[in-house]
Amino acid sequence: MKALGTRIAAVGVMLLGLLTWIYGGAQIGFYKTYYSVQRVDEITELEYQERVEAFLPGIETLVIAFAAFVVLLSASVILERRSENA
Amino acid sequence: MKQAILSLLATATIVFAPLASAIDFDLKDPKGVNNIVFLLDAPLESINGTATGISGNVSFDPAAPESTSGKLVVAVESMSVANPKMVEHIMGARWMDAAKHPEIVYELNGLSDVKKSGNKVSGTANGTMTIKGVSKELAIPVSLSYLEGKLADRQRTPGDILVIRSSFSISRSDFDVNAGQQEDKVADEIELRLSLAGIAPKKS
Repeated sequence: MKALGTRIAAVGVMLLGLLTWIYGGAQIGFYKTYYSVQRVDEITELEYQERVEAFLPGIETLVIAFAAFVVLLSASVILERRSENA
Repeated sequence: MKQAILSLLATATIVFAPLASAIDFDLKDPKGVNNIVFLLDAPLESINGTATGISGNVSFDPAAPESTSGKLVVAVESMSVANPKMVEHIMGARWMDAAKHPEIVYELNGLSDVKKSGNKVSGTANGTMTIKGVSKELAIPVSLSYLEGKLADRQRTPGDILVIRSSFSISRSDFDVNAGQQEDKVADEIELRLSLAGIAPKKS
């Protein structure tokens, strides 16, 4: 039973990581702490970027989620073997 | 004697007349619009960022744009990308070495291939770029728009605005910025897009 719970947690963590990454814009690069919005100065017609503070998860979110998935899955296998031996 | 003084005055007028009509534009924009976008497209990673710490001046004569001169200074510390770890790397000794070389400087000596159309001037800016202590002669395409009297509309101060736009590429290895290293992640070619406004308030 514990093994099953750990496996569900492993899948949950992987899914959570994937959804967080997609929600943050599915960026191939590393995390970002802001994004930019393009603005135009009325008189000079120059384009400039206005910074908007926000945390945007990057590819490392997926890597961490996958690592947690592997650890939890391994733990579930160990738990299953222990319960079989008991 | 009187004739000699008069001819001297006439010569001085002819020689210094073009200088007198040149307008000095300050590149420190109080509205904070001035920016330089830098783009690097490497096989494994694309980096784009902006630099906003811009100062310097441009002397521009609408009647003789080819004599345009000036100095553009960019504070290295103002270079930013959205990932703070990457900013740390950029400022480090291997890359821009902001502690030792806090400024990027472009000394403009004049314009060539000048084309005028109304209040717009385009041409090639000839000058010297200094990055990380390495100076190189650099000719870059540039377009200028002289907005006479428009400063009043923007900042409620009588005066003129000079809008400067340019887009060109440089090679980081030319300026010894971690030359030949990590080119799969950080491209050697850096595309730069300049969007600058110089202001010249009228002296009362």
